[in-house]
Amino acid sequence: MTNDAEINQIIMEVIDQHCADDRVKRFIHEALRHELNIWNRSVSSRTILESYELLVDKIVKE
Amino acid sequence: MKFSISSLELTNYRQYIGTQEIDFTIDGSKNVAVICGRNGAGKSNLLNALTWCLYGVEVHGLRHAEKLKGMPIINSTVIDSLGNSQSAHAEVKVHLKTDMGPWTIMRKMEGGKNERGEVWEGETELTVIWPFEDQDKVVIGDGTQALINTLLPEALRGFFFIDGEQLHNFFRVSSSAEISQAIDYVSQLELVKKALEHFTSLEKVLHKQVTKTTPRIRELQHKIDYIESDIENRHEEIEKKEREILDAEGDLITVKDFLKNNSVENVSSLERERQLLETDIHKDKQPRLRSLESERNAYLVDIAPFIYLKKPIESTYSLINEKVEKGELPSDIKETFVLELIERGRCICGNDLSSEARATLEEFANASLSDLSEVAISGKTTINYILSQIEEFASTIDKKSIQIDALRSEILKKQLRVEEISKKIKGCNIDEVKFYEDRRDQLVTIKARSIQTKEGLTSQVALAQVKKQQYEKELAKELRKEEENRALSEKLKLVTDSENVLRETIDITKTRIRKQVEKNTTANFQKLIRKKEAFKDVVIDEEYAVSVIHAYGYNALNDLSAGEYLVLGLSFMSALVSISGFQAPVIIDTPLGKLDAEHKDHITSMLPEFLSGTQLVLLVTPDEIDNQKVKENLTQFLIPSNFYAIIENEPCTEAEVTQAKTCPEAEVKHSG
Repeated sequence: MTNDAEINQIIMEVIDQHCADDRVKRFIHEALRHELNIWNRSVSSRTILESYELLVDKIVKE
Repeated sequence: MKFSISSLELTNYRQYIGTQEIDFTIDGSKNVAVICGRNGAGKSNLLNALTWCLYGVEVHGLRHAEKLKGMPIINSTVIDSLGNSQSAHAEVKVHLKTDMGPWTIMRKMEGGKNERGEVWEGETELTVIWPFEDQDKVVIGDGTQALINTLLPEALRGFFFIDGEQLHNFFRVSSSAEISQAIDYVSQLELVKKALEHFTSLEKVLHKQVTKTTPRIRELQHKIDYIESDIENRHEEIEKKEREILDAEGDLITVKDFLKNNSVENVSSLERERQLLETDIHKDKQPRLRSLESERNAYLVDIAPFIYLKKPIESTYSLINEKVEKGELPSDIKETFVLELIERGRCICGNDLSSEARATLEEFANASLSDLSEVAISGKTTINYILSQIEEFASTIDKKSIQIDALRSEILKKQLRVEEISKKIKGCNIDEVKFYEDRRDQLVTIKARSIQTKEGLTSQVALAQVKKQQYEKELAKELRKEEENRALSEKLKLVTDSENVLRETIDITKTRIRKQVEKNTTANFQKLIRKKEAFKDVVIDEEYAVSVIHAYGYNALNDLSAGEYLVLGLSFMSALVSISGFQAPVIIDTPLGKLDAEHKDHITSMLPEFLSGTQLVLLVTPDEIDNQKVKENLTQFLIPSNFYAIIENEPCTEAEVTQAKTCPEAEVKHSG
C-alpha cells in the first residue's frame, strides 16, 4: 500500500470505523503489507499461508 | 514514493539497434518531454520498452500486435547477423530519480541461433539497484518485482503509461464493468480481496489443527466447510455472470455504434433517438422513480401504525381533554411555573400569596402532579400532531402517488417509443441492419438475465455468509470448552473477525472511492474542458455508468466531441492517479491524434499545468504538433534538451532516437 495515499486513508478509515479490536486491525494491516510485497510474484499458496500462520501466532502471543 | 525517469537506455530492443540512451532533464516547472516520430517509427515500442523493463510485458500499440507477434524482442538485424550457435542480448535499462535516491532497473534477455540456425530467445532477467542504508543494493530475480511494485504496481501502470487512442475511446467504448474494474485496480481492493481469500484459506488450515475434537465440533466444521465450498461455487458463478455482462456490454457498444453510424439515414437517426431515450429512461427517470417509490414506502411505514391505531389515539385524546376540563390534569400549568410562584410569593394578579394558597401550591408541586401534567401536555401536543398527520394522510399519499404515476406513464411512453423504433429498424430491408438489430435484442436479453442471476447469487452468498458466521461463533464457543483448543480458538477468532472486517471494508470502500473518483473527475473535467459553461457535472452511478450532465440537465455523454472525450478520459485517469497515491511519470502515446486544432491548443496549454510537478512525456507524430499554437504552448513547459526525434531507416527495421529541434518528417534516412 502506498504511503499518504487518499485511498489508504479511505481503507484505513473504514477499517478503523468498523473494527474496535486492535489485534484485528494489526493483523489486517500486516496482511495488506504482505500482499503488496508478493503482488505480481509467483509465490505458492503454501508459502503464503505459512507466512500468514506465523503472523497470527505472533499477534496472538503478544 | 515519487519518481521520475532520468534516462532510458535501450540495447538491441526491437527496432532500436546498438545502445541508445534518452536522457530527460528533470525540472520542476518545465515538466514536459516530447519524443516525435512518424507512425510506425517506434514510439509505442518506447512505451513497451518501459513496461517490458518494469513488468515484463509489452502491451502498447496493440493494433500492431500482429506485427509484433512472433517477432523476436532482440533486434532482427542483430539476430540476422548471427551465425549458428551464436548469441546476443536485448536490454532495457531505466534510471529513476526517487525521493530515496537514484534507482536503476534493467531487464535483459539472451537470444540467438542454435546449431541448426533456429532463432531462440531465453527467459528475461530483472535487476534492481536501489539505495538501501547509504549503499546501492543489487537485487536480482526473486524480490525485484515486489520492489518495483512499491514504485508503481503493475495493475496501475495503465493509468500512467497511456495509449492516447485507448484514452480517447475510453468512455466511448468502455462498459460500466470496465470502469468498475479500473476503480477496483486503483483502489488496490485487489490486495484487500487477496488478503480476504488468504484469510479464508488460513481458516480452513486452522480448522484442521483442532487437537481435541467432539461430535459437535466435527458437525460444525463439516457445516462450515460445506458453506465455504457453496460460497466458492457461487462466487465462480458470479464471476462467470460478470464476464457475460462485460462481453454483452462490449458487443452492445459495437452493435449500437454500427446502427448509429451506418449510412442508412433513417436507421441512424432512429438509433440516435433510441439511445437518447434509453439513457433518459435508465439514467434519469428510473432512478427518480425508485427514489420516489422508496420515499412513499418510508412514509407509509411511518404513518401505518397511527392509521391502525387511529381510534385508540382519538379516545386517548378525548380522555386527556376530559381530565383537563375536570381540572384533574392542568392543561397549561408547568412545574417550573408553580415553583416560580412559590418562590416569588406573589400571584400573577399582583397579590401576595395567602398561606392557604401557598400550601395548596406546595402540595401541588410535591404531589408529582407536575410530572403527569408535563406528560399530558406534551402527549397532547404529539397527539395533535399525529391526528393532523392522519388527517393529511389521504391528500399526502394521493400527491405522492400522482407524482409516481406521472413518472411511470412518462417512462412507459418512452419505452413504447423505444419499442416502436425497434420495430421500425427491424422493418428495414437491409439484411445487415436486421442482423445487428436482432443481435442487439439478444444482447439486451443476455445482459438482463445475467444481471438478474448475478443479483440472485449475490444475495445467496450474503445469506450463506451470515449462516457461516453463526456456525463460526458456535464453533469458537465449543473449542473454548476444551483446554487444548483454546489457543487455536483464539487464532480462529482473530482470523474470522478479520475476515468479517475485510468483507465489510471492501463494500464500503468501493462506494466511497467511487464517490471520490466522481468528485475528482468532475473537478478535473471542469478544469480541462474548454466549454466550461456547457457541462455541470460528471456522475458515476451505483452501476458504474458514467454520465456527463449538460447545463440543461440531460446526459451529454453520447454527444461529446472527440476532444471532449479525450478530456473526459484524462480527467478520469487523473482522478484515479491522484487517488492511487502513486507519484509516477505520465507518458502518453499519441495524445493529440484525431483532435481538431482548437482542442490541441487547449489541451497542450492546460495539461502540463494540470499535471504540474509530474514528469509528462508525450510521444507524438509530426502531424500532432504541426500547429504554431501547440508548439508555443509546449515550449513553455519544455526544456529544449528534452525534445527527441525518432529517425527510422526506410524498411523501418531500425530506429534511432536523437535530440532534435524539429520533428523528423524530412529526416528519414534512406538506406539506399
